[in-house]
Amino acid sequence: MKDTVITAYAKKRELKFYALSLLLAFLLNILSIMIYHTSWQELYTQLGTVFELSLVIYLLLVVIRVVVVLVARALGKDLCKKARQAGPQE
Amino acid sequence: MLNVEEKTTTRRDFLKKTAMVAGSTMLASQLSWLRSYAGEKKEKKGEKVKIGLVGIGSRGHLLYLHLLDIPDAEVVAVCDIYPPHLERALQMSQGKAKGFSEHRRMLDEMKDLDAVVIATPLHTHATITIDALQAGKKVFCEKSMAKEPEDALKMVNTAIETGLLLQIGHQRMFHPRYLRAFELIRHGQLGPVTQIRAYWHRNGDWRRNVPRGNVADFADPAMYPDMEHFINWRLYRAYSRGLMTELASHQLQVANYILGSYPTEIMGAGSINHWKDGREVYDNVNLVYAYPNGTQVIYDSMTSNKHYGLEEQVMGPKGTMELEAGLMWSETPPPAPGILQLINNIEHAIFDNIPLGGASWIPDTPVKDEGTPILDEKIDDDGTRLELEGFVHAARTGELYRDLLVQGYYATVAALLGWEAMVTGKVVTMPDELVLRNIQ
Repeated sequence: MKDTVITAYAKKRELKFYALSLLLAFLLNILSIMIYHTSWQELYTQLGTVFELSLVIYLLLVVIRVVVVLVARALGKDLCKKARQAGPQE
Repeated sequence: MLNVEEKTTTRRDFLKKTAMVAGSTMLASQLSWLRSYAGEKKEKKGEKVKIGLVGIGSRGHLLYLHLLDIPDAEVVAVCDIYPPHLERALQMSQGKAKGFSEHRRMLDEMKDLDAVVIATPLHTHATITIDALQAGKKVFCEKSMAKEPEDALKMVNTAIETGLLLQIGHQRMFHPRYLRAFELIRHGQLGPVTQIRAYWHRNGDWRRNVPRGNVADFADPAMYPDMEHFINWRLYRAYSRGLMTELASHQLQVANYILGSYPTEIMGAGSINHWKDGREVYDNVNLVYAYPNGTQVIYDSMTSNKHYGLEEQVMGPKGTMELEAGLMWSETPPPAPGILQLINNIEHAIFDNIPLGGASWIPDTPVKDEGTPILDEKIDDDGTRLELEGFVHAARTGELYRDLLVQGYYATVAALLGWEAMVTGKVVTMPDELVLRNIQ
């Protein structure tokens, strides 16, 4: 089994994605308080739910990013193959 | 392990705390024993209450265990006509109690008795209670008071004439969870109570093993034809009213207290539909008790299914309480936090089916909310220990607890009139002569 190296760049990138998720969850809490006219105390009483939601959003982002990478790779291979088949350009 | 002094302090503190928590305002003004503890009426220092315990079967045995653990109580006499029970009680007393097989002899010989605790079969309660009161003893008598309403009335009148304490064993009046519930109901937590449903379901034949022996060796054969009648007295009409006097009276007492009245009309039906083993009392009872303000108490008890257990469900336009489970529900629960509403709505929008036509009605299915505890503190005692503490306290302070006597009386009368309604198949009205005039 190979050793896996997580680079500092990758760690920073994932932290940024989680911070974005947390911010989104927090904003959703504010939005829901405004929509449903509930108490502003929920800004801190519902922090547990906000953290849970941030994890869900982060996981969703992971799934979306994986899909994007896979699609990009597939398209990239396909383009290279077509380029090779076309031969040298004048 | 606590020493005696610490235990006394802890128990007293607990009772005081109960008095404070459960009856800080309104209830304390209504319940004499709460007032007594909250007010710390002075007890006579250093004197134990000398008690004679009459009837030491299963319930009497439990009471004895509690009394042995109450520092201010001292059981100095035990009395039972059944020799094995008397022997067991004498062993428990470790030589501190004198044994008797007849309560009148006990009253004659033990002049220094302060109080008598009675846990005999129902049909003997009235005679023993009246004898003890007339001998100048304070009395704790297990529920129900008597087999006939007139006997219960005689017991009350004797207590008033002698000016002595007569407390009936309705332990829910001492249970902190019930007291908290009463307080909340009085404060309008449920709105005006519009219905109470109470039930007690068991699955068992209610029989005790009948040992070999000749009943004439220790009891009057004219009263008990054989050992079966002596041991399983709860199943025969000469001694008991079955489920009504052994179980229902507890819950009817709770209903009476909550509604602040006694039932004025009673209808019901009972039968022996499962345990057809020669018993004479019903193995299932179903009744409706109507109260003066138009509220009904719906009661049933059965011995062939225990799925639902026992419960008192109190309902009003603002909420519901289940007193045994110790839970309450509001009819208008506070809305969920906004974020949960948002998530819920998003889930519904994504996963719900698209309706082709709206439903013409929504089924009235039960609320599945888990409910809110009536009391956060968990209480191990079912109230029996506390009510005995209360009795000993009253014996030392001279309290009379007449409000509790009234509760015991009307619970008994309600149970007995329920029996009458079932036996006659008629609607029974509370007879005017059974309404207490000389006591509040």
